[in-house]
Parts: sequence; C-alpha cells; structure tokens
Amino acid sequence: MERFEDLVSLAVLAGLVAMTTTMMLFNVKKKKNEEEKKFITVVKCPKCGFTKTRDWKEGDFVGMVEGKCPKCGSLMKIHAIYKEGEEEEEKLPISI
Amino acid sequence: MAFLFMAFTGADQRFRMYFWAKSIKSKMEEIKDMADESKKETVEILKKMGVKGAEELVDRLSEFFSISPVDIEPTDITKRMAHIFRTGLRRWEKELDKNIEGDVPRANKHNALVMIEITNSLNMIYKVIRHYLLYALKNNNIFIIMQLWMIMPQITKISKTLREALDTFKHCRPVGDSVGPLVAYRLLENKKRLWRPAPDTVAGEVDIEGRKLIVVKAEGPGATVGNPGEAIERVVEERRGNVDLILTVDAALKLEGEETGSIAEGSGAAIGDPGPEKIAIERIATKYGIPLEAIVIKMSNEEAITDMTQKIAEAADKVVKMVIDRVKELPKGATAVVAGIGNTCGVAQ
Repeated sequence: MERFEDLVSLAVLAGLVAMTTTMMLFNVKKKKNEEEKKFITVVKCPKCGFTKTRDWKEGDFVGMVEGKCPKCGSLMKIHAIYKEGEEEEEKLPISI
Repeated sequence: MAFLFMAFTGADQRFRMYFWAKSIKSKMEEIKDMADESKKETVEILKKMGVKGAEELVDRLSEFFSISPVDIEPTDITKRMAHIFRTGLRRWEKELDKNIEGDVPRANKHNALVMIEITNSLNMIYKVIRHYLLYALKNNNIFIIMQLWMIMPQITKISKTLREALDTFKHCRPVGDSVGPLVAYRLLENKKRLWRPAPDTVAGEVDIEGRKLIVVKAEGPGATVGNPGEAIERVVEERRGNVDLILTVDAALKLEGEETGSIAEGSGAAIGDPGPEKIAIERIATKYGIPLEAIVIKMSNEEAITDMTQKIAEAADKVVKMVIDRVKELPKGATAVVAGIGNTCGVAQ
C-alpha cells in the first residue's frame, strides 16, 4: 500500500515537472516569435499607383524617393512602413 | 495545528507579505534591466552621433524633471505649462548640441532625444516602485505591498512597451501615433508649396477641386510632435480667420474590445497634449467661429508607441479619402485646415 502511495506521489511530481517544462518551452517559443518581427516597406508610384512591397531596411522613411516606376517612369516614393502580422489578443478566462 | 498557529500569530500574513515582496522585487529587477539596456543603447547611439561624454549626459538627463505649474490660480495656466515644457525641451536640445562634434541632422537629434526620454521614463518607473517597496517593508505595511503586487503586471507591461518603443525610435520607423502625420503626408503629395509656421512644424497647400486645403504636420522624418496648435493659430491668423473648417486627425486610445484601426468622427480638437496645443486650436476656432472637427484612428496604448501595424497603415488611406470627401462638401473657393497630429517618426512631408 505504501509503495502504491509512493508511486502516485512520484507520478504527480513527474506530471508537474512535465507541465512546468512544457510551459517554459512554450514561453521560449513565444519569445522567439516576438523577436522574429518582420517589417515591410510599401513603395508606390504617386502618378500611376503602381505598388510594390519589400523588406524594410535601415534608413527607410515614408516619403523617401526610391527609383523609377517600371510602368510610367515617374519617381516612386515610400508609401508606408509597417510591422507584419497582428498583435495576438490575450487569452481571457471567459469569452466575451 | 499549523493553521491555528498561523491564524493566531499572524504568521500567515508575514508569509504572504514576504512572497508578495519577493514577486515585486523580481519584476522590479526586470524593469531595472530594461532601464539599463535602454540607457546602454541610448549611449551607443549618442556615441555614434559623436556626442562627447554620452554616458554622463544620459545619466544627467535620465534624472531630469518638470514641475507642473500652479493650478490653484488657473489664469494663463496653459501658457505657463507651454513655457515650462519648452524650457525643458530647449535645455535638452542645448545639452545635446553642446556635446556634439560635427554636423548632425536634426532628425537624428530628435530620435536621440526621444530615446533619452524613454530611458528617463524607465528609470523613473524603477525608482518609484523601489521607493514604495522599501517604504512598505520598512513600515511593515502589507496594504502598500498588496497594492503594488496587484498593479505590477500592468507596470511591467508598460515598461516592456517602452523598451520595445526604444527599438522603433532607434531605427526611426513609424509608430502607431504616426498615423496622423502619415495622413498629412499623403494629403501633401501634390502640394504647391511648403512652409514652416511654427518650430518643428510644416504646412503645405493643396488644391482640391477649387478648395484650398492647408495641411499641417510635425516636421519629419525625425521623432517629434512639433507645435501643431501654434501652427494652426498662425495659419488662421494669417488669413484673418478666413478659414471654413479646421479638421484634426489623430490616433486615439481604443476601448478594450474595439478593433485596432477603426475610424471615428467627432467634434473638437483631437490632440493628446497636456493642454497648450489643444487650447490654441480651440481658442482660434472659437475666436473666428470656425467649425472644429476631428477624425481619430483607434489603437491600444502599446500600439501607439511601438511599430505601426498593417491595420493602422491601411486605415490612413481610408482617412485620406474621408478628409478629401469632407473638404469637397465645402463650397468652391473655401479654405480648410487639416492637421495630422502625432509623432512624425519615420514620416517626411
């Protein structure tokens, strides 16, 4: 009987350790995801409206002139810079 | 037995207080790390800009404070407030200029000043928490500890947002609050001329099917909010009040449950300054009886000071269309003033 109780205690303990480890790993994964943010630069031709997107690079700002439009030859400008993806909503104990 | 012992001796409360204090301390240390990291990065940026004694300068400015004007005598309180804020800002700019070697673009200086401001905020948050924790422990005050423990998750969240914002300003990318200047930039794409009606603020003239549109925004792409109140006041005074509409576009804090990037219209001046700029817009509109309208783009506090999201960037296009439609409602020959309020980090004109 005593051995059985020991086994149960051990199983509970192992369960707790497994749960904590899983939670920790989940948090690490989440933090890793947070670090891997991607920023997008939208370049647009103010004349014909031709738009292209590319990865953001240091020195970009909205209004910066960037090359000629492949369609109409006008100067293209940076139209927007944004963070890709949406903020994750926090999980609530009840849904509203 | 143990339960009775604890209940009668108050040991349970002692234990609870101990665990709460431990939890506060660990979160406080997290904030301290953020403040230190922030300081380190700011010093690095200043050194890259060629600032002499960068570490000493950040140390000194991270302790800088502003004293609110006397409010039991409200006469001219906004003027006094504006004077105090500008004194502080000028002092920071002078300190930076004094220690800079060579020519540095104004935009870079503005970004550095915002980074120092973030370092200052994180430092203050850490010091206030430390103060209350030490005070409560010295006086064995479980109620202060309990309250501090309860609000620590929010304070930590604010601190993390500030830490994240530092990276955004460091790389001069638009923040959520830049949506107002972004709308102004898009309206200014076909501008006829551009001038500077107030420090760090620009205005441009655009023709919309026979109506004159004057667009006001902070001067980018450096991180600054400019002086839109003063600029609107000058623009309207220059025209002796001959303006048919003043429209402000700004980011607004959403209520929990509201969607980021949703747009709302209203009346009044949409501007989140402590008072001086807002009252300047209200006064000039009231003086000449000019309709004062507002369009806001909703977002959370975190979204307002960190990298602009796609939803907010897309909302800017919708607002541009709304502004143009609203101006077209005015008769031909009318003049409207539109101000894109907010920090113009990463947005030129």
